[in-house]
Amino acid sequence: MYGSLLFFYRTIHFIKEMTALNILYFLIIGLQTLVLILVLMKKKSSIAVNGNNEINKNDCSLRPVVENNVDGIILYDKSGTIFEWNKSIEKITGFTKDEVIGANIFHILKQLLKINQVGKFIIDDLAVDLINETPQKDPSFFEILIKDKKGETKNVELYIISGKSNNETIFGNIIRDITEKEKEIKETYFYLQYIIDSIKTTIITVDKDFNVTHENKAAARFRNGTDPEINYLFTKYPKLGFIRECFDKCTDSNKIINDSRMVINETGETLYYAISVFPLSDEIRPGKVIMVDDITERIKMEEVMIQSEKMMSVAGLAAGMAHEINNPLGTISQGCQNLIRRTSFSLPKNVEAANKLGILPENINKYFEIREIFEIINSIQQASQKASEIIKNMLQFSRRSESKKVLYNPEKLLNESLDLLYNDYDLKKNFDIRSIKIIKEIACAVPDIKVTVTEIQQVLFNIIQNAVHALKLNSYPSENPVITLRLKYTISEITYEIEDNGPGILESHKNRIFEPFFSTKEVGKGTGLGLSVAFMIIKNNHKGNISVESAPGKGAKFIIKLPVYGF
Amino acid sequence: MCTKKLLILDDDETIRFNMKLYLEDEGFECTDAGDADSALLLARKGGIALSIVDLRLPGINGEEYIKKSIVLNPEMKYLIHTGNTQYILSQELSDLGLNHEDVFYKPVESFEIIVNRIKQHL
Repeated sequence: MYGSLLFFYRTIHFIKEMTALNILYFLIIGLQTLVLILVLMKKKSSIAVNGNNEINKNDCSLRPVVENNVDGIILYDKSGTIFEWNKSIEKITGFTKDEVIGANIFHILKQLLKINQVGKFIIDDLAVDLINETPQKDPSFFEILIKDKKGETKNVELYIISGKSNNETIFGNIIRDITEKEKEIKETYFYLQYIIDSIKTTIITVDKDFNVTHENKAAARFRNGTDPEINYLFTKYPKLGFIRECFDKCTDSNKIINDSRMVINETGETLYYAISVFPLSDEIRPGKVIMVDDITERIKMEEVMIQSEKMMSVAGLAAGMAHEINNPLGTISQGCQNLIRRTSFSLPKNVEAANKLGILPENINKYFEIREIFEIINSIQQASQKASEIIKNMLQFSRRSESKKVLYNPEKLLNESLDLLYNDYDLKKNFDIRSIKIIKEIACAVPDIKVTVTEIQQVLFNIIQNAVHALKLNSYPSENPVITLRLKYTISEITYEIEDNGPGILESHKNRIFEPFFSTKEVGKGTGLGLSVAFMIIKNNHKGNISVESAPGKGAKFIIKLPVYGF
Repeated sequence: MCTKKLLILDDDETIRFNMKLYLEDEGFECTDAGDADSALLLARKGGIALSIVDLRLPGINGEEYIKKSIVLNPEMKYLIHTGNTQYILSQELSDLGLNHEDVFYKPVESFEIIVNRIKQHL
């Protein structure tokens, strides 16, 4: 009977596991008290009991121990007549010793336990025990609610003990007030729940049949529907399919499994998750703890950092290389100039040398014309000039900004860059820019930023120019070409967005567009340095950020973030 | 014809060679050196009116050469001819009388501008 009651009453409580030590502590204290009482009972049988069933105080050396025990102690004989009621039980129940000594235990228990069904069971069972005079081998234990004399509800642990000595069965109850402890445990429970709910990592525990036993708030993102009846892990969380492999590995090996997965969600976003599956080493309730962490941001940050580092090393290389290459370029350029001069009539020395050899200077000149020597020299000079131009751009890419920064209005910057674009001859020559619709979405009262004006103009110009090129690609005739220019801000930064509805950027190109010399334009049409210079200007010189969002056929959106001055 | 001697200081032989050709065609007498120490030896001998100096050199660099050489020949003029297009004339050299018109960045598209500057100095 008690067994079933116990099972019924000890509903599985999460906190109990958390506070196992706490309970162990109670049990040890409880057992100490039990031993004490059993000793006292033995003693009672050997001491005189007066007509009122009171223990002879003088004869009982253990009395003070009972009297002052922290646990409430009630002792009564087989008729249920109470003969012991200590100070602690007075405090717990509100009934004084004078009120209850000689009274019947059932009368008192009914008052205390009436609020609970379990109380009735206890009383009924105790009655049977008393009638049969059957001493319990082991003390029975209940966790139960009682109402004290004032009607206040208290949470107590109730032990029922009994012992037989000299043919007399003595019964007793130990009642321990755990209201405060219970409150503490509840608070701890909620506190722990708050903690795990505040953690962004998804935490789910399952039992050995893979039914969910616990979850935190973050787990909700993987849930489908809220049917409380469904408990099987992969039915309850259909979006957690990607942990299956790790989960199975953990099941097979009973070891901690850590891994990460890339997942493309329903909206086509690429997400990265770190997964950990731990075997739950609880002998009674074995299971698993699953932790899933969204590391998408971190992975993206790492990518950006790798990119930045790559750029920095290229920048360093570029600076050194530029210097070295300028020397041979100098020789090439000078050499060509010397060649031209030494084949010209204007130099008397040339005429002199030709005459010495009996060659008419004009013949030399004619020969050079027929054999197109001057064109050859010219082409060398052009090539050297072009190389020198690339070197100049490269140096710009690697240069640390030394120019003075000034406070400037971001909207003004954007408009000025746009003006530059409308006046750009190369662009005007090839495209009708006016056929592209330019939409401006500018926030009100955008705060000033501290910038090197020409540099930011160059960046904005370059990106808008790229958008124009993309929209006017022969292979991609846009019907309604639109460039949207946005300017937004938060307290700490301003954001430019330059979006076009052109052909977009291939995924494989997206990571490379900021690399120097990477270009998708026809050979000779671009140096492939525009965006890498932009990257350096924004990132290095202005401590801002530049990124791109794009997909083939969906246009491209460049996002530039610059810190607001003084933030 | 101008007979004042020019000194070309550059560690790149092809630069020295081509520059010499050009300047000689212009009627200048030229001598050259691949490092600052050799150049200082030549400067000590005297007779050099102007040095065309590369900055990045083995051993003593171009700026140091100018500072040392100017002590030996206070009358000597200097042009800087460098591959470092980010070079900005230092205050020290400005104080010694050089200005930004004396700085030429390699590759120089037209040597005429160097010749013009030399002529201004001499």
